[in-house]
Amino acid sequence: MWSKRHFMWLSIRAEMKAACYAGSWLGSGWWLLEPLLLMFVYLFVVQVLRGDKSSPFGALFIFCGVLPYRWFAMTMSRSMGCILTGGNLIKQVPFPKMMLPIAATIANTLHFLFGCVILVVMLFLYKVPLSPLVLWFPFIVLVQFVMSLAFALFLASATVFVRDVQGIVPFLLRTLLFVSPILYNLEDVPKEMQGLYMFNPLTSVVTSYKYVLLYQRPPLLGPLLIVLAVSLLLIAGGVLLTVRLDKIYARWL
Amino acid sequence: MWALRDVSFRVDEGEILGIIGRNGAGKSTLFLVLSQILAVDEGTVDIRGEISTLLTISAGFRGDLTGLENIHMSASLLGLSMSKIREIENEIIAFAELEEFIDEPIKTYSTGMKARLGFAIAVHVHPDILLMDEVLSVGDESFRVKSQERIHRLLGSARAILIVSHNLEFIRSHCSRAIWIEGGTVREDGQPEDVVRNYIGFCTEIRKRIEAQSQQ
Repeated sequence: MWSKRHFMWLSIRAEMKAACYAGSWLGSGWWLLEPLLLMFVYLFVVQVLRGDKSSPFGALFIFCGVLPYRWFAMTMSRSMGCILTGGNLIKQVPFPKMMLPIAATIANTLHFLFGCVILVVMLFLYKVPLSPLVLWFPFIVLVQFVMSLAFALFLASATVFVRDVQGIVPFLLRTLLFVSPILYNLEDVPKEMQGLYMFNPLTSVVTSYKYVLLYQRPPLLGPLLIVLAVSLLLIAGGVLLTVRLDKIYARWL
Repeated sequence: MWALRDVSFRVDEGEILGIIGRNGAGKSTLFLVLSQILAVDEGTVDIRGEISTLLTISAGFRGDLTGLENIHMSASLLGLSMSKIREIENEIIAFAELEEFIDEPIKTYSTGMKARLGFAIAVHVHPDILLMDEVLSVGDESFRVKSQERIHRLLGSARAILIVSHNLEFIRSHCSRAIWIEGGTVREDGQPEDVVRNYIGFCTEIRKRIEAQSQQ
């Protein structure tokens, strides 16, 4: 894999470029515009349709949830097809297929980091008092990265052998948007369901972002550490799986 | 069902091995196995040295990227270092005659332009062992002459070469040995002259049988 590392960097760049619609007027402006547009849609749903103006942060509150959700959802949908659509290449050149989902995850992480620029601007506009607790932010990002990579590795392989995964995943991602505390807080969920919510790794991640950025509260450290540990185990499994399947994929493509 | 069964041969340094056989005989599968893209279920493949395939690499191009970016992607995938790629990229572009278009997205290229670029990349990577799968003619007449020349040079420089081709004349005149694959197994292994003659005889036989059947 080391001798072909440049291929991975170039794949990441290609992936980044694909997301800004080559030849479009706005180009890389789309990296910033897309999460913003999404935010306005949900803002409309929450504040106008549901008439819920309880959050003092308004748009910022929505953005805090939508930005990490989008990162996760984009990583899943891009990594899902990466080995499948790489068929032409995979049947011609031997290379570690693992590089494809890793590249997709890194590229989408970079998108997310660009989106964080907007987040910082909004925190400033809303005059949110920042406490030293924001120092947890990079750690939460790390946990989400490790978690995304773990899922990405498995999804990329799964789609090759069970094509139906392509139909299920978009549905799950859409569902995840509503059953994770993205447009609302964990506290808004009925007490008896909060335990169930903790099985969703996005819950602890998104809630922790909101805690440290908006509410000057410490992150959900325990659940985050569990997510981190489980994800690391899954990554180890995913790497082993991808290595074992490396010379099998071509038969299924 | 086995795609290949009881296929056993060795290729020594300096050999140019031609592989012939009808469509579906297992030649492409053999190539996928030799290029280490597919694993074998039984048996072993032992390769000493760097092996590379001179396939239609153009099939793996990404349409949204420019020609130059695709050169970088393909060459890095074939294991070349970035500094090595920078060194040979102008040579590749010049060989493919794409100087004016190299910063345009590949999707604006014609099929011929893509084939030329793919060929140019493939022949500029120098492996120890070269696999060629019917890439002996791409582009227009002038490019074809140039590419033939290049292939002859490659035939002289690689340490071992395996060529799959339906161009029996080419096999006869360029290979030092030939293997005929039929129904997933090696039917004959020997002098190109003999193997090609027997293969042609076999094909004529089959054609006659099919004609006889259709007349009944």
